[in-house]
Amino acid sequence: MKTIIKIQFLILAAVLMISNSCTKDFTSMNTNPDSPTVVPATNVFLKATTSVIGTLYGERLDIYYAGSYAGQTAAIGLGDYEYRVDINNSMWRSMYTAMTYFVDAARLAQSEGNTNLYAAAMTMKAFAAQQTTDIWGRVPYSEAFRMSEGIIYPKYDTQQEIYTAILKELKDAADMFNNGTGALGAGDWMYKGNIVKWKKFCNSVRLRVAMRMSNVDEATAKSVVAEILNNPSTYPVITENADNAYFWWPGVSPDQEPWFQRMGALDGKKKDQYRTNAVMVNALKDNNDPRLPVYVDKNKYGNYNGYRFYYGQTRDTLNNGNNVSFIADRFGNDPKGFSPLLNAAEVNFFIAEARQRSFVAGDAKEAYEAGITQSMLENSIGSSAIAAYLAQPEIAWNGGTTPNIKKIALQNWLAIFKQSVEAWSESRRTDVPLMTSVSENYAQKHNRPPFRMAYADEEKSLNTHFPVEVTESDIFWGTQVWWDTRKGIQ
Amino acid sequence: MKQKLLFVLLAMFFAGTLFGQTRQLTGKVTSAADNQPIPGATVMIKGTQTGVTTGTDGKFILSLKTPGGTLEVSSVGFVKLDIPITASNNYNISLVADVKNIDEVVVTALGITRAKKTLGYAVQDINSTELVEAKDNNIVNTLSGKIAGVQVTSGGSTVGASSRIVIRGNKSFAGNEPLFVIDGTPIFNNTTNLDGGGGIDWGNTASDIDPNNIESMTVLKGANAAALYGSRATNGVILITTKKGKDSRKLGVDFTTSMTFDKVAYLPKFQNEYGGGWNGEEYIWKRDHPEMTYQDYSKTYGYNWVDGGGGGVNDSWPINWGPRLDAGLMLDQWSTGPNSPWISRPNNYKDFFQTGVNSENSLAVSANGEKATGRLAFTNLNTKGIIDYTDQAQQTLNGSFTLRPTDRLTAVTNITYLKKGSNNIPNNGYSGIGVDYAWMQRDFDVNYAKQLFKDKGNSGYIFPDGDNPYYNLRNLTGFNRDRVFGNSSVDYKITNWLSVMGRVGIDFYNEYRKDITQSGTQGNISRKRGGQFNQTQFYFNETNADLMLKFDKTFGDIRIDGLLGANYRNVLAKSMYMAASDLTVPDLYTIGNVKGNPSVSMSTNEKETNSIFFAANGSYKNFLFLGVTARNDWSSTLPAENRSYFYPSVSLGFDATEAFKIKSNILSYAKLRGSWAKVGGDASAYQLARTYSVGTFNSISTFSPGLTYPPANLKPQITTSFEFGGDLRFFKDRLSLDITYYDQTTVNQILSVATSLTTGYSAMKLNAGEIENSGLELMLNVKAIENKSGFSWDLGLNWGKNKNMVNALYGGLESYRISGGFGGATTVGIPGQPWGIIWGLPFVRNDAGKIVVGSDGIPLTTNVGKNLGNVTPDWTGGIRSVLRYKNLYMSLLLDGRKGGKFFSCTAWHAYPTGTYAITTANNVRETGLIVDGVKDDGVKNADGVYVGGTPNDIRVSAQDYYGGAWMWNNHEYSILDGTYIKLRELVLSYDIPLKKLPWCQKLTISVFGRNLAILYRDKSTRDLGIDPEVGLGGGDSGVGFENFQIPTTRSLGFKLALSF
Repeated sequence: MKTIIKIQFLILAAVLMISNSCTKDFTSMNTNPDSPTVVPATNVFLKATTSVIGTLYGERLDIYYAGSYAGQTAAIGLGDYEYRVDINNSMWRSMYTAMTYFVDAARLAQSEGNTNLYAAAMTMKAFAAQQTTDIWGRVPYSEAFRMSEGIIYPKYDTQQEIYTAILKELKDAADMFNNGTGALGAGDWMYKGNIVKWKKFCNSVRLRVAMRMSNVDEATAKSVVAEILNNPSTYPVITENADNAYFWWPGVSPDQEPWFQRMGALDGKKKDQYRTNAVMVNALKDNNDPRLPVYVDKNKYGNYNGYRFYYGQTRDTLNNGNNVSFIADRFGNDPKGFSPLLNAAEVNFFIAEARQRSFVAGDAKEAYEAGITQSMLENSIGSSAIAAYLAQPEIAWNGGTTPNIKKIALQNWLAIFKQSVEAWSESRRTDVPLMTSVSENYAQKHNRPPFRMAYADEEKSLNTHFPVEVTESDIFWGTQVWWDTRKGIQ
Repeated sequence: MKQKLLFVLLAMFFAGTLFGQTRQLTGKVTSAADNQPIPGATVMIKGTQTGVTTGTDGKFILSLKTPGGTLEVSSVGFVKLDIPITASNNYNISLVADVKNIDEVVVTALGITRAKKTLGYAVQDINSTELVEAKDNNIVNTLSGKIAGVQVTSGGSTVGASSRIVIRGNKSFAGNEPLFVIDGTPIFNNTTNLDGGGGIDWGNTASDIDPNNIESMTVLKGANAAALYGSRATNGVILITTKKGKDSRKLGVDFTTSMTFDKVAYLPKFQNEYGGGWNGEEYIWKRDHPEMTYQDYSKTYGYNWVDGGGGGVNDSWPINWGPRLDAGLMLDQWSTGPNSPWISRPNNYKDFFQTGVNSENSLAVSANGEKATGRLAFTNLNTKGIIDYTDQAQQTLNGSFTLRPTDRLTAVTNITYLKKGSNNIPNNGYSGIGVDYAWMQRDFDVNYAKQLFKDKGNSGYIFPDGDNPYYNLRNLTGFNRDRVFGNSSVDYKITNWLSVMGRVGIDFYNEYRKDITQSGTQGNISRKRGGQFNQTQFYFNETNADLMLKFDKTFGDIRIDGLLGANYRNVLAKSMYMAASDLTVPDLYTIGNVKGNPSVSMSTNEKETNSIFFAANGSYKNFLFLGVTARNDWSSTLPAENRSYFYPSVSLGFDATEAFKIKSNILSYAKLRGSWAKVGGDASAYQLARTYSVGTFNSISTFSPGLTYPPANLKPQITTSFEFGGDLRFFKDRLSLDITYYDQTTVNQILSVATSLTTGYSAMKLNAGEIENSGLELMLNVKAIENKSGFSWDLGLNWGKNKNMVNALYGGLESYRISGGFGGATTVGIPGQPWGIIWGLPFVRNDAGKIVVGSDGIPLTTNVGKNLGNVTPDWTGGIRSVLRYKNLYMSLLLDGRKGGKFFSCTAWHAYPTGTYAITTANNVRETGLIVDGVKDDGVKNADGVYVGGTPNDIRVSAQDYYGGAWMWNNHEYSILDGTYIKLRELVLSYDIPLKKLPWCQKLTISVFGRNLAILYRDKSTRDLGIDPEVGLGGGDSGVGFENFQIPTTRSLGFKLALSF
């Protein structure tokens, strides 16, 4: 009996030890020693920046997809508008992940009392949001990024609602920059802490948003454009290449420019399937554009020739690997190259258009020529070549038969090569350049490139608020986005 | 932690001071047939309530208070024996087998040996012969077809490939692997979890176990059997008992040597009618340019190689829509030069592979004495893969030592040290050699490529931007692992009915993986990079300490035995990763040589559980058996308020033949059993807070917030199960049938439920979902022939059918993603459907189910996914036949599986590449084809579904149909059926009579084969030449996907075993 009592005592002791003393360090044990819970905002900001750039200017979206839809690049071989469920899902995820990171960077900046960094994060989020809605149309925004409030199925806003929200965010950010405090820190790789440049970028994005919607809500667009352009000291914009919102890659492996990562050929032997599009090559050739050799390589036979999309394209020998020109080195073969978010040329063209459409007073011609000049200078074109180019009838303001407004649109489209989503959006807004011929599989049913990218398949099962009224036909067509006012197209 | 260990040890020794004082009878009960000890035998003093059972060594100690009397010795399966008590205190008792009721003894949870007849739940055991006779380097593979309700899926034929084992179906969205336990201590079975894209299969670490050291293996199938192991046992337990050196020999030496040859056997069905190029098929020639000769047409439009970069005609794209082979055409070619005969090379894939060779030598020494028993074994295993330049080697040292300094004290140590490594493991899946050949011209000259590599390295390949596959094989991916696992235990008999046992077990390993890319790949030459490498170090350590008090007492007709115990468990995993994306000195793979910035990361993962448990078994008159278990865990991974959780189980067994004293020549044994159990489970470490992951950009730290929303009040997950069944034997045990029905439901699963990323999170971690598995298992054994001349024929059949259902997910969630799959095809869980729905893009069909084609005669595509089938098989099973005649032995194993769909990436590419025989069937390249469907007349109903439509009459070329872009937006045509029946094992062995070699006890030579034939498979896999069994990796992510499987092999081996 004594034995049993002793044993019972031992077991009781064991139970007590296990249930009490041994669990008291469980909380610290269950804390991840390698992953912090609070970090500096600037380092989150950098992660967010590289995320959004990696997607928008990564090869898949920038060259294969949006680049093809914009008529600037092409993937030869099948020459299709590739639709893949998994990649489509990942594009969607990437854009929302990047915006999530910016929201978090802003939250951390706020807790650090760093209003400049907060404004920069909000600017980048708004920039990414515009690109996102321009790609898909209606997307969740006002209820997005709010799971901590219990929102697990964010509703889809109309594009108009999103644009209204973005415009407000950008104005708030601009005002915040004007009274801002705090350094942007090591995470501002793009402008290296230069608040003035950030302010210009913020206002330029806002100008871009306003101009994009100017055909459907001219009143709002006009007032925003006027507010910016009539108050250059409060709302300065990017008009010189020195202020370009370009993310220049360090060039040190592994942080090298994404197009180079994909198709770099330092030995001079380019061999990728990613090439140039005939629409762009022809637009450059038509006007003896000095940027042609900067954008496009000669093919094997010494000519400039882009890939042609049309029914029968895969049987066309001009479309084969030897005939289609590669993308030239400045854009595709420089490890220290750039990812362009926005440039001075584009802003100048927006100003030109705003003046031409009398949103603000001023000389449209001057802004138009400034835009061309900035684009040429950026591509190392000398002043005599610029002058010669400007003198051509179809380029010169009021020259030739092309209306000035279409000249602005074409020049803008040419100046934003490598900003493929932007180029695609502008071509959808302006119908310039006119692209009536599309990829073989769709050529018999459609007379314009894709209107939008298909929604992420996973969104349909994960978000009960997925709008059922959205029409998607032949994957890429169906409903035109809100600001796309083109008529009679399919 | 040290304190806790010390406590366990101290408690053990305290217990050692407690013992009583009476006359002690000691002895050992052995089997008359083979002198093996009989554990669990009952030794009673006749006419009293006093008695004991023997330990695992067959020994007993019995206190005797009155002089004289008789010992009554009994054990299940043996004839009861009475022995008068004399003056001697030591009795060696030999029992004779009772042929009428041969019943096995099995090892159950925590290493406790029990008579099978006393169990209230299903277990199935497998002896060492069955594991080693047709050896496979991965022990998991040798279970295939042998255990009812167990599904084994081999990860493929690359060296060291993992295998997936699932017992009674998939129960969880977060891992379905059973727990492996060796001699009472759990070990890691870390398994490569490849998704549908494939990658490097590093294997599953249970394959480290050397089958030569295994005495027996028991599979505890349900939660009922496994409840004592806690959460990790939800998916069943595989209990392994190692050899201890216990046999009749004073000195024993065992030596085995074997050679196994693996030959590629199940190759894809490639076509050999048309070669590389585009527009080369006869139909297109006759349609577009009938005025030209086929020779002129082919050279102008089909294919002509100039530089492989587009300089010729369609020479830059590895695709098989070119001109007809063996038709007398003369074309310019890469391997044979200008105007050379355009011929087929049907063996160019087969010739890429070599014969794999496995050689194994194993030596074991054992000794058996009064106070000590031991065994020491060494095994050396070398493997050369079927792909050139791939290998694996393993050396295992295993020791087991039992000390019995007194009759009361037993100390046992089992320890295994092993070294395992590969210089190179080939890639599997979409980056492996299979995809290289799918995207390869059928006229490709592999022997020329091989010679070219020998002469010129990586230059001069058919495509200037491609790498010669032989060069790619020198981009090495290897690993080295050093591992120790084992335990030490001390067992002390306090009284004749009470003992205490303390045990400390570890499993520990350190592993380095290194993956290099040489500077000479075309990608590196283009970007002027000196090569790449990455190295990962893994460290795993699991410590278990148990303290158990075991009791066994008989009161009249009632016997109660059981244990009360505590367990401490700590699991620590660490890793360090470093990578260089460019190197200063080319091909110097050390981190200081990085050009640019290294990528580095590290991780730590630690969790701990403390538990107490109780188990008791009561038996009444040897026919009614009741078992009860209870366990409480405290886990570090759960919030403080939910940290503690309790779960019980109960089981009942009833021997009707014993109870009703049935003595019949027809029904010789009938036992019914039933049980119910609940098992709780915890989470993985560090799930409770949102943290940032760390990275760098240009030497600046980057932090990305976690995208999993942390749980608010995480609870343990609970699995509840019940099972009932029966064991019936007829005709003097010539026929036995064991049936089990089970139902197992897991609720409150701890899941990362995917959320729309628009919420700012990709998932929520929470308790969600309910999965139910129910099923039937059958085991039928027939002694078909048992002849006095020594001829016998035994047949064993096992069969399991599992029905699986996802009962619920979370809130309005419509699906849970199990795997990201490949190419847009994923696997998901959907409420009201079985686990593992393949989700992908279907054909566009009209209301009558006909495929709708566009105005070009090609199927329309959609971006709306759909349920395309389920991965769960309808049933699995196996048949084993054993023939014996004197010294001759032959066994044969068939195993099979019915159903279970999978998305085949091979099938998905079989169309567009034009490489497979299905793209030339029915003369489509000569005549074109009309897709069986209806035309898009534009008539749709309100739901957007096409209605009616005129029958399609548009003839298209094979190239336009099979090679069109439409198929990338369609997964439906690539869903294949997983049914198969295989001739898995065939063994022929002969014991050489040894009358002239008295020093030698046994000499056996055998010949064996594995995977000798696929006797049946579905047409969908047969047409493509795909082995329907093979999966990707050993985890859940690869389930339901096939991706350019490396051809599976047929193995033939020779073995010699010598004992003296």
